Amino acid sequence: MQKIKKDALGNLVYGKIKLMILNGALKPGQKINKKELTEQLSVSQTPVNEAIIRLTGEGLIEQQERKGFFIKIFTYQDLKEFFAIRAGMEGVALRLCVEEQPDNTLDKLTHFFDNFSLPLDENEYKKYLKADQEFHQKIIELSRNSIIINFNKNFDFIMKSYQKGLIRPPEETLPEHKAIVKAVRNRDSEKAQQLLIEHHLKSRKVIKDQHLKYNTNN
Amino acid sequence: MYTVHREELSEMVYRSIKEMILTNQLSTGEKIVQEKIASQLGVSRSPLLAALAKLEREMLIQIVPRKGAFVRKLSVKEFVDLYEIRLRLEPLGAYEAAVRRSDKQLKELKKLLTECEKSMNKTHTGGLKKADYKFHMKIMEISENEFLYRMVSVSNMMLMSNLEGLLKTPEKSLKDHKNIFKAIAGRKGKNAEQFMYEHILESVNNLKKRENINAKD
Repeated sequence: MQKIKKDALGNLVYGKIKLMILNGALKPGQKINKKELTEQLSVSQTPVNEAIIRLTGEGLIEQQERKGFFIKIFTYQDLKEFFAIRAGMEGVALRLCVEEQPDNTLDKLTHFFDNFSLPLDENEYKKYLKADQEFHQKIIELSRNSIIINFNKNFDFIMKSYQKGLIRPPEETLPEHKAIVKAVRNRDSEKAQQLLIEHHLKSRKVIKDQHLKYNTNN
Repeated sequence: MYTVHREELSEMVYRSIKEMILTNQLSTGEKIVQEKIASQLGVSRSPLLAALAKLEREMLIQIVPRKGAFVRKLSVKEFVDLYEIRLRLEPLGAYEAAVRRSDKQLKELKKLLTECEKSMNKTHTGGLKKADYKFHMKIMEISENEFLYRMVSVSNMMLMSNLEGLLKTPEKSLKDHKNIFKAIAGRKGKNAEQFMYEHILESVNNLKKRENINAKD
């Protein structure tokens, strides 16, 4: 019995720290202060240490020899990969939603951007960022495909790709989001998949260009 | 400069275990005996544990607390879900492979087709599974559509879907592969797409038939 409780605690601590990394409460590049973390979560050292090792294996934390553990800063190369994979994964997920799910399920996907119109003020921008994240997560969830759902849970490509904030401004992405939603409403699965793929590949291109610029400047 | 990094070591262990799964040296549901593998590969436990954690995230193995690591056994629902994804990705890849392939790439694909043919009777050793895996992966690679290739390679989709053996007879599978190859060789995108679609659709249908039979039992 005791042991089960311990596993559960381990998982809980792991989940909390992971969330802190993905939502930015722990900043990229920041050194991990184990003592502070144990106090903050009011747990002992052991589950915190275990979680850190697990997250290091997952590439969210990195160990620097003799210096300690740091929140990993994703490289341009990493981000390019995330967007490439997202294009494939979410494209299929969206297509499955549109082809297989009933109207009332699809309804949960089509209202995220109803209340946004350009230009966005600072407050709306924050809400838009959140709507953006939730929309893309929802696509995965509503695909009802166990492989895609697990894959996203195990790799967190969606949340990881927001580490540097929005890659492109809402001026570009809001109309794209609305076009995707429209294709979903029209039950045009191939178009929805295509638009979503393009949406991510455009972001990927921006990252690629920044990468090139960064390399030539140095 | 010459130090062996832990990451390299665990990456090597990871690839070895993956290969063992692919070639049936480890079969589904089988326990991965850590001591055995560690001594087989001549590594200590820590790179082994890192490799196992990675394989677990990739859904190839399952770690059961206090019992150990097992080669993952997919449920029927998971298999169907897997093929539903392949059905929507691979025809697209086949289309683009036909449009974009170079002569060099075609030669490479031809080699893999020959391998499929030669492995026809190697169903029990996993030879055919491996050849099938390589043939399908190559087409995704040739498509030069990075998101397709990344998606199927990171997710181990092809590997997982062959875990329980192939879903159609070796003869039928080879016939399909030949048709797909011909379409890619002739740069006929739409044909390649259609053949690939039918090839995978048949597997989906066989899978569902199998599921119905099981449900009646």
